Amino acid sequence: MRSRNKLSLAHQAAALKGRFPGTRVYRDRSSLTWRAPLQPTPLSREYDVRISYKLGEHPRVRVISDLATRPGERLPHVYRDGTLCLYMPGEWTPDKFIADSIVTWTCEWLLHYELWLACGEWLGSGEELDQYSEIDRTSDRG
Amino acid sequence: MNGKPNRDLDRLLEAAIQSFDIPEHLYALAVRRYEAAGRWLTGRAELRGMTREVYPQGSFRLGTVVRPLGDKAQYDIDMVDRRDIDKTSISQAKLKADVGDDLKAYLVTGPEGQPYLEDGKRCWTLLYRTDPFHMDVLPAIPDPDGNTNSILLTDRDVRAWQHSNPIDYAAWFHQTMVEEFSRMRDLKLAEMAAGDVEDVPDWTIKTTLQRSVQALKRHRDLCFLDREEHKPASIIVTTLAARSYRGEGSLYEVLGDVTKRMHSFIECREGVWWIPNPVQPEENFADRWRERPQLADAFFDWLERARADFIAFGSGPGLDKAIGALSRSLGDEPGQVAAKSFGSEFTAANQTRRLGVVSAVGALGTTSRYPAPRHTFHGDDAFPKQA
Repeated sequence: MRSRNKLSLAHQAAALKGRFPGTRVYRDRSSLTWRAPLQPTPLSREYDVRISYKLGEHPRVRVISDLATRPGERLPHVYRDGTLCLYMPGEWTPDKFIADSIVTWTCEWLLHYELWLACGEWLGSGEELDQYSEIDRTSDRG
Repeated sequence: MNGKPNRDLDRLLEAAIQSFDIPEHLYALAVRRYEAAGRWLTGRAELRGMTREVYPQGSFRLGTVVRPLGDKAQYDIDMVDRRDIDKTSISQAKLKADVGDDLKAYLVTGPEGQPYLEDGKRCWTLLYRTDPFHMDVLPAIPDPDGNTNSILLTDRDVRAWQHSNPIDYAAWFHQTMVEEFSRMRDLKLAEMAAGDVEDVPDWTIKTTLQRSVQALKRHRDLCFLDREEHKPASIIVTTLAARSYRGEGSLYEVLGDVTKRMHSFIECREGVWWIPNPVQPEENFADRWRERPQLADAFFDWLERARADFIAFGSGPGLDKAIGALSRSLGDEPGQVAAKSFGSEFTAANQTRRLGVVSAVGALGTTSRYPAPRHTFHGDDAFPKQA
């Protein structure tokens, strides 16, 4: 970890509020939570999204709004706990502003989610997700 | 990207329509094929000391080609073969037979594309074994009662010669969209100014009118899949669309506006439906409706459905809603193509580090001051612990 460039919670919070005026950041000594409505394209729906970030961990992104799925299929690129899988290990580091990386990637996820609903294919960059069809349907993944 | 709803709808529509347009390489190949056949036919006429002209007509000339439906469906290209013979000195049957003889002699020369010949009602058809298109060759002579470009066509089922004027009709069609056409051409030239491209061929430009005609024709083809005999003629759809076109707006707006206005250009003269040929006003494109009123009913029902279907593109919210409406009205494949083309642009923008958020609600675009780092959507099961 490049702790030299690690951004403080205050910096992350300021960037989120600066880029997205009117949204609120809840913060304590070691973590922050940001909640905002996001609409990735003018044709898209608006989604209520929450990002929680604890120092030393990865930011977790959760879509609070209900997400429809395709009949008999699971949402692609979602962790077992229902948070979004937005990047590969190493692609996000704590020296990056959440506002300019995680939020943009979340919007991209939402856009590709709507396209996936329409055509059944994940059109964003990403690994092939063949394993999804084999996953135990009773798992707690959202 | 960086857009209003209509701009994104236009991108989806454009990609969907492009998927059933004739691709550029096939267009170029078709031109080569008809030029080769044309050279042969004019050469034969010259040997007899006569003049003859071979030129495309219909959708190929108008830039409104739509790939027919079905697995083995081929693009249909119409060629006029005008031989400058006096009407009184030849019969329809003789003209047709003469053209047939010339084409049979052409086949013996072993032309590229390995064509073979079929005899049709109004024309000869060159079917190319190696290419996904066929070419209808329509025997014609000059129309002594018309202007320079008026022609008479043969028809096995009708005693009288059929009047036509595809050159003037195409000129009329192009004239209705001339302003948008030159705007698009200037834009394309400016975009290409950095490259080595010296010119933009006319046929690579597609105005909102041409795209609208293509969308209408594809919607019609899907609607009349199991009742071909009631399918509205392309010339009717094209004429009414061009009449309704007002020369401005996004593709989505033009398509909606045109579809809404088309019916108002159908006249009723003493109980008879009239859609006059804009370049030969005494010719009624809706002539067949007189004996078969069900054709008029089928047309009006279809137009109403097209209007409702096209409006649904923009009724959202959700890209999936727009794409679903697109698939329902233009076909599943165009819908899929549109989704893929739309999604891949955003992915490419991220990979080239141009994608960022451009509004306070998270709209994605390429004009952000803070473009996001490259990333790859991950597929792991468990959330990673340490950052």
